[in-house]
Amino acid sequence: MNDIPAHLTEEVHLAFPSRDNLAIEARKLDFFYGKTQALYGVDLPVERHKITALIGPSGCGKSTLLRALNQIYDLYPKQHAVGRILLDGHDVLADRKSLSRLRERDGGGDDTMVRSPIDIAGLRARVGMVFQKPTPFPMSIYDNVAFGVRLYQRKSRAEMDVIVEKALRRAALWDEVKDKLHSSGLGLSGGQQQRLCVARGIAVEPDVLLLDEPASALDPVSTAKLEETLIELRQDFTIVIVTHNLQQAARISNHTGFMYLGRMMEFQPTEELFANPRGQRTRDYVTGRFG
Amino acid sequence: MDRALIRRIQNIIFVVLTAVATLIALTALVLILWSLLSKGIGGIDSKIFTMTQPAPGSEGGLSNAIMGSIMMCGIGLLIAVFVGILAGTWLSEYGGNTAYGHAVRFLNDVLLSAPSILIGLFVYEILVRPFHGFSGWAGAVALAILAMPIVTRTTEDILSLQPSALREAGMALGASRAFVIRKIVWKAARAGLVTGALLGFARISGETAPLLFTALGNQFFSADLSQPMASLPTTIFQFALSAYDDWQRLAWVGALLIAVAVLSINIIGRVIAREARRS
Ligand SMILES: Nc1ncnc2c1ncn2[C@@H]1O[C@H](COP(=O)(O)OP(=O)(O)OP(=O)(O)O)[C@@H](O)[C@H]1O
Ligand SMILES: [Mg+2]
Repeated sequence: MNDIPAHLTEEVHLAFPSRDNLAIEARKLDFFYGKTQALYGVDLPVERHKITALIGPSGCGKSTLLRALNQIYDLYPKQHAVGRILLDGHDVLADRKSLSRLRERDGGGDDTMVRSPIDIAGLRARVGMVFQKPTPFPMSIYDNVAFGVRLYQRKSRAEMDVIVEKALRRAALWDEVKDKLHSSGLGLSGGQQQRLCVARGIAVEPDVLLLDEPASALDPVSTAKLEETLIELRQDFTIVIVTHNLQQAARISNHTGFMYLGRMMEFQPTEELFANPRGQRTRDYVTGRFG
Repeated sequence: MDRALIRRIQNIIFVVLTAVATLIALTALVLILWSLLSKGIGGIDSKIFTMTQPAPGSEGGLSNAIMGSIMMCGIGLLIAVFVGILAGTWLSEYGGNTAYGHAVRFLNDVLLSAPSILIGLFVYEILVRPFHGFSGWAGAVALAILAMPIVTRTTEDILSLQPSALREAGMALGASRAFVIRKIVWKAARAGLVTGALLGFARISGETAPLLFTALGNQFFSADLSQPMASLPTTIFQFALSAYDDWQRLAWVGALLIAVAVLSINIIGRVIAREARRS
């Protein structure tokens, strides 16, 4: 247990954007699955109205990082995170163990950081998530999109119609489903289901949308559609996307982070990272010399 | 002999064996249905549903037994579905991996295979003796205890099959865990939940022993659950063993009615399940 894996002491190359305009930020985040540590002091600044891509070999902790950002891991009692997650500058890491361990680790921390009263449901309302496999709920297309909105607001039928239409339009699904809004969401194709999940996520108007390999189950046409959708959505939302498709990261993202075995090894503006990677591991990965 | 030939012979033997076994099972089923139909169908007329059980040699029907069976099975199943779905949900979604959860699951499995006469005796001790009398309530409770572990088990199994991604997607929108279970997980699993209830019904619809200890039987028409209550199985038991031809004929009619009820409830359930899956 005492040998430190080599990559943990290697130099990292982090060119972070200015802290003025961040929608969400992870700071020195450690993550544990039981006793196994999956993230080591990860920093991730996510600039508002930009697309931030996370790349890296399988098992490096990309999904773990996303799941920490909206604390979905909270479902599983053995998993916990230590560190800070700042949403608009407020520390929202609701993990109860986190605060005491943070004190242990960082020796008191800075007391200027006040825990905000945002509860976990409130956090998730502002940080939406779309998963790798489409997860339509067993209900109509309309109800799928309305599901999240109904959790927070009581809307009249007419108001809800407007919200549902807007979300479906923004997810580029409206034209395909407008005539069958009340048939089941399970009856859609995989690509349509994934865009339905995007619509469901943005219907609650979150600040940040997290996407975990959203296109991995889609054919090239659906993928292209989804990418267009994301670029459109950037105007209204902040997007973090995990992808194994390097071209996709290069096409749509503004910043790219390269992770390796639980560590953020390099973070650069996207063109910079692909054209001129600083670290050896990043270079190997983006040039495909590395599994 | 070459291997291919051996394998072919083995294959033929296996196919013949499975075919014979299927034939035996089917023959038994057909014989049962045939004897039920041939002996029962002739006795079905409107009096079966309108008149209560007769004295030997006079006219009568089974209306008291039908009423009792419907009431006790209905109430029993209602209790079983209510408790079973909640218990199965708890096992699958909350406490299934705790020590207490393992204990509950183990005891539920024991209950699942407990002989029904034991359940009857148990309910007799807690609901009949202390209140000095057999009652429809006691019968319903005995049936509920019989069906409950089946519903619990099926519910847990079917909920565990639902992908965790579905729960996470619901929670990721900010819904509470309980809300996600009620609005998403139960809904996704509803065909399976219906199946659980049907299995429960199939188990209790023909049970005789526990009802003899609890509801006893009643020769008069009664919808009063605090009194002894007739039921098809107990009436069949009493009539089939009697020496009177007309009582025996009624016993066959009763048996046919139970078979038809189980069959039609199963069909209805399947249709519901299919509809649920489609929407
Ligand atoms: N539920 C879990 N329990 C224990 N360990 C886990 C669990 N989920 C992930 N891990 C471990 O955490 C590490 C990071 O996993 P994670 O899923 O975040 O990787 P990833 O970068 O998303 O990989 P991929 O590209 O294959 O999706 C891996 O070593 C993995 O084995
Ligand atoms: Mg992943």
